[in-house]
Amino acid sequence: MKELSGIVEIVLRINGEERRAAVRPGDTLLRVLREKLGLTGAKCGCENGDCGACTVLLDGKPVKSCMLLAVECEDAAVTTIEGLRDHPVQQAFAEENGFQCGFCTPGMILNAAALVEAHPESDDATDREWMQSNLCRCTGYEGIRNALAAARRKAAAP
Amino acid sequence: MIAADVAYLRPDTAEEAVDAWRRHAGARYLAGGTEIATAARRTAAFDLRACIDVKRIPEANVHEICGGCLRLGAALTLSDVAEGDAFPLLNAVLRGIADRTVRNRLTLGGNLAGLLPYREAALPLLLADATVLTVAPGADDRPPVRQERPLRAIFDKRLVLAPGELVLSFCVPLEAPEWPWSHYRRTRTGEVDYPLVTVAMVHDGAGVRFAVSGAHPYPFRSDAVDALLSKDGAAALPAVLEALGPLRADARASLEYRVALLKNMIRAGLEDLA
Repeated sequence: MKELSGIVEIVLRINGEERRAAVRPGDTLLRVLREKLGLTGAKCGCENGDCGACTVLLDGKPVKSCMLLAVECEDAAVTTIEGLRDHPVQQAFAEENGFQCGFCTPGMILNAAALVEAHPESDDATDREWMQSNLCRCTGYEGIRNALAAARRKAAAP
Repeated sequence: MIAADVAYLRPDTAEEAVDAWRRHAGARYLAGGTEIATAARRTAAFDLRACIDVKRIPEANVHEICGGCLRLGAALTLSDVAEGDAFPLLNAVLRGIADRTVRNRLTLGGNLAGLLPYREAALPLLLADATVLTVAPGADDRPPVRQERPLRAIFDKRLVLAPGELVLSFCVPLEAPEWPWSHYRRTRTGEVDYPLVTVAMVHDGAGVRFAVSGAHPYPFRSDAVDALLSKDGAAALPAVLEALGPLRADARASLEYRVALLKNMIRAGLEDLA
């Protein structure tokens, strides 16, 4: 049985790299990413699991990093927005103006990237169900919807 | 961020988990962590001194048909369960809980054992007369005790567990997922919201079974209501409402609105099952 207390060093696999961080077991992944590892793409919005601004991929699945402890993520592959690097979904968001103030954008893009990966075919009901996890306070949803459609076209292109 | 200093323990077996609970005062079992992480961040009144991470206990992750039942591990995420096709009513109910990225963490056991009152995942399991496998610390220095009991026997508004008792899995009789079913859920705002009323119904071949959450601040199923609906159908609505007792009224919905929703959902459910 693994037991951690006080300040402990953990190894996280983030964006394909091993990163070490000194954390307390109560530190959320969001705080460790932002404050210990300098990965500020995941945004600190509500810290209550509502807004989705802190979304990252954990073993390919979108999750809210404010709701999980960093120590839970040892042995998992974490992908943040910094790890996407000119992903077709990022390009589509830029081209289709799928953002306004940009605060929600990293979470939106990561969730959308996971959605396009899991469901390459367009399905409005599935898109709505996935993207409801992320809130845009600028209400720029139409641009986001267009970006998602454009990302699918890119993914389908030979 | 959780301000309190907490210890983190990751047992490999159920017995190690209950042993850790016994050794650490103020410990809580952690699976999806969606409630623990947010509650502990919000208030120091949420007593958390140690988290016992039960996600990697193999028995809490089973998802199999075995021995005439569908066994679902308590540490399975709602997304994992809902993506299967073994229990359509359960899938429909789970897809209404929270949003997808939360469901990618929130677990079946966590939904039933958590602090939020709705516990909608309990509805299909109560209707199916599922059983629940738990392990609890033994008295004094005795070994941990495992028990498989009917869920309805240990569910009174919420799971009634002994101190340190850990839910490992739920067992659904294989015939239950085959029954005709109906599910209605209404929220105040969008689809991602707590339910004003959520109703699940099945017809087991002999009669109607009915369960509801949101109308009360807890999930509810009773044999008396099942008998009324089985005997008289929609004509039993006045008696059903009386049997359900006082319904909830709050800033999100008035009593009258909840009663109207409930009546409409029951009528629609009975039509679906006819």
